[in-house]
Amino acid sequence: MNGRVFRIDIPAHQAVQELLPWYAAGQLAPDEARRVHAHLQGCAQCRQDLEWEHGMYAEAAQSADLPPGADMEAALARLMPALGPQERGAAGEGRRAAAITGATPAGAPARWWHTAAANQPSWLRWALAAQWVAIVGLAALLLRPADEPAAYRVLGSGVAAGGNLVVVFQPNTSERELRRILQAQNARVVDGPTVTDAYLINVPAAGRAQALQALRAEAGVKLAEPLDAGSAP
Amino acid sequence: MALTASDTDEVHLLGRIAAGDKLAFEALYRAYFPRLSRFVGRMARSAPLIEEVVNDTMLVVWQKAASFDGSCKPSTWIFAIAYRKTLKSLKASDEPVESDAALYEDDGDRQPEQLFSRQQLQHSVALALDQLPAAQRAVMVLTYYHEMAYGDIADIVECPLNTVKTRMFHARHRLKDLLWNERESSR
Repeated sequence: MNGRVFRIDIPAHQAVQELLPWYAAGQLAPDEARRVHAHLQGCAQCRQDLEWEHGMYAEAAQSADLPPGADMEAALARLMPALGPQERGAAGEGRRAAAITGATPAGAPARWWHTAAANQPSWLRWALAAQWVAIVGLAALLLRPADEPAAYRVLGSGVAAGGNLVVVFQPNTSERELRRILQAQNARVVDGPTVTDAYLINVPAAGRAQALQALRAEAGVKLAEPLDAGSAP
Repeated sequence: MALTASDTDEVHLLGRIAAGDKLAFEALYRAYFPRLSRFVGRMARSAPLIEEVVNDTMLVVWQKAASFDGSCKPSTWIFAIAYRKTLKSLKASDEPVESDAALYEDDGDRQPEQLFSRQQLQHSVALALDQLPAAQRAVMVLTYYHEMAYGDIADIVECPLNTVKTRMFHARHRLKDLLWNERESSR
């Protein structure tokens, strides 16, 4: 073991490096200043960099003159006649008084990048509000009365009103064949199969006679009969 | 946010300006012209441009004094306006945001190298600053020439605190390199 009993804590070193310019000017909060001070005791590089920072401030202080050619009185004389109307701001005297006493005025939003932490009360308030909006919205969706008729029907309801033909297929007709026959007539199954293997189907009323003819011509169809209101199948 | 006595005075002045008091405006103008012109002067070089940007800034202060809400120091509020006006004028005037340092090299008052005087060092720092991107330059100028805390600088350039710190960190490395090169080449 050599004389060096500790290694440099890299993240801490980097954090101090970033703060050095403001440490040199005494512009850090007390806890940050203490942290930098403690690190400096054991870090020669940071002490050397701190010297450089002091040099920069010294140079900056030497060049405090106005930029060459800048003339305040001439510039002010140009501006004064040009002062137009003022905008009426939202900030009232109360807020300005709060600024004088150092209190944060209630209406002044803090800069967002200062409040980006998730546990900030203001963020929590907004998150909670958003959550309530979602809850109320979903509840309203659930409780909304079903004012539109559902697009589906329970089998058996309103059957008689929908079917206008009764068809019985041969027992060995495949589902595929059955589908083809019905689709060829633009027919839809309304009910069935019944206990007698009959299907109640609906075809467009205008073409019912032709549909009936065509169905009877199909080898797979054992029976096809029109179904009129009042007539028994 | 702790306000100094002069901050409090400036808050009062802004209150009077919001009420249309032109004397109060003149007082604030005289207090800010030197600071603003130095800041703008480090960002843009030509004198007419500097006065124009300062006047544009102070005109906004006059127009919007009533909207100053005390959520930051008056100086932070005013410098934020100046920063935006400066960037805008740099774009509008086609003055390179990254100024050409060579323009200022041959101004004839170079000292013999062995007399690397403080004035020359300042000159070198100014030249090196000019070669930094505007965003880095602004953070450096506000730190070294206006001795502002990084929280205030974040408000002025409208970016997160960590961005100010890392921007400053990279700018310092760049500046050190530039100064070193400058010194080597003048040998």
